[in-house]
Amino acid sequence: MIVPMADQAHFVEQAMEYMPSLYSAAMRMTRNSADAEDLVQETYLKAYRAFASFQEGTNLKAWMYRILTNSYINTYRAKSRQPEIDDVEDVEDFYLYHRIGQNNSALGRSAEDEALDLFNDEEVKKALESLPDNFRIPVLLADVEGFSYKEIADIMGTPVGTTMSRLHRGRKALQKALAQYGLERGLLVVEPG
Amino acid sequence: MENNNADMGLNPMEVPQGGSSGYIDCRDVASKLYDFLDGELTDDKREAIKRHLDHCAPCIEVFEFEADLKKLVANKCQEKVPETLRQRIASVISIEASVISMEKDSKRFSTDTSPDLDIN
Repeated sequence: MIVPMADQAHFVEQAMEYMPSLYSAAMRMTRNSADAEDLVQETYLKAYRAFASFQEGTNLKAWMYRILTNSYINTYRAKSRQPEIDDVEDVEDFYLYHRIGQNNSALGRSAEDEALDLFNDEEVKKALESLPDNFRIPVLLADVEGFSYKEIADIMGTPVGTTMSRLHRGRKALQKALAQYGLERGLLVVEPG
Repeated sequence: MENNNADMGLNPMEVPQGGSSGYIDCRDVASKLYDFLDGELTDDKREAIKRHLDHCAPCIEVFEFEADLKKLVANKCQEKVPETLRQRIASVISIEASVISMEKDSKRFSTDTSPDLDIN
């Protein structure tokens, strides 16, 4: 079977639509707009140069994300001289639900939707950005971008089982980080333990 | 997934056990919650969970909460692309395109211009 190769001339019309989501992801990865802009620019340049190796008809968005993620890990993470934290605290399942959804008599049982709405953009972004890379990136790819477990594993170059485990633990850590904001806002009556 | 011990904190007395037809119980449903929300289940398993949710108010509450939270994370993490970035990218690609086109025209560059790429 002949695999149609992508033509660089078509790159612009096909790839530009992903810029908002790539830039949003780059912001969560680098945590600042200057690095995020450089990272997205680097991603587009690398993608353009390599576009001939992209197999037309396969998932261009996932391919772009793979370049973005690798560029981030190789360039920006290497640049930050902070020691790599590769673990998150073990948090109980449905941590936030237990504290907002169920046990909060002050809000009442039907108030969980409203309680979630009270988290603002800054709080959700900061909560996500507080996670270590290996947990933040799977959560970002699954919850913000809607990639499948298999796609996330391919993007990150990790086995599917490892990917799922990190996603699961990352989500729980995210809930705990959000709970801290909830506590500050008086949304929670239970001290996050 | 690894959360075989998923516990929604439900009172066992209020937990419907899936009736008499041997369907999955609340604990099984909880352990599959994210697979369900992420669209990672087979149709059979998905249907089994839907049947459970149809008659289990405590489970549906947790599912709706987690589904709302997933949406919240997606909605709150969107950024607007700076116009200057769009222009920068359009510009570097157009420069790259002209460089590539010049290289194609010039045979003497043909042996050492393979792009230095590592997308892995």
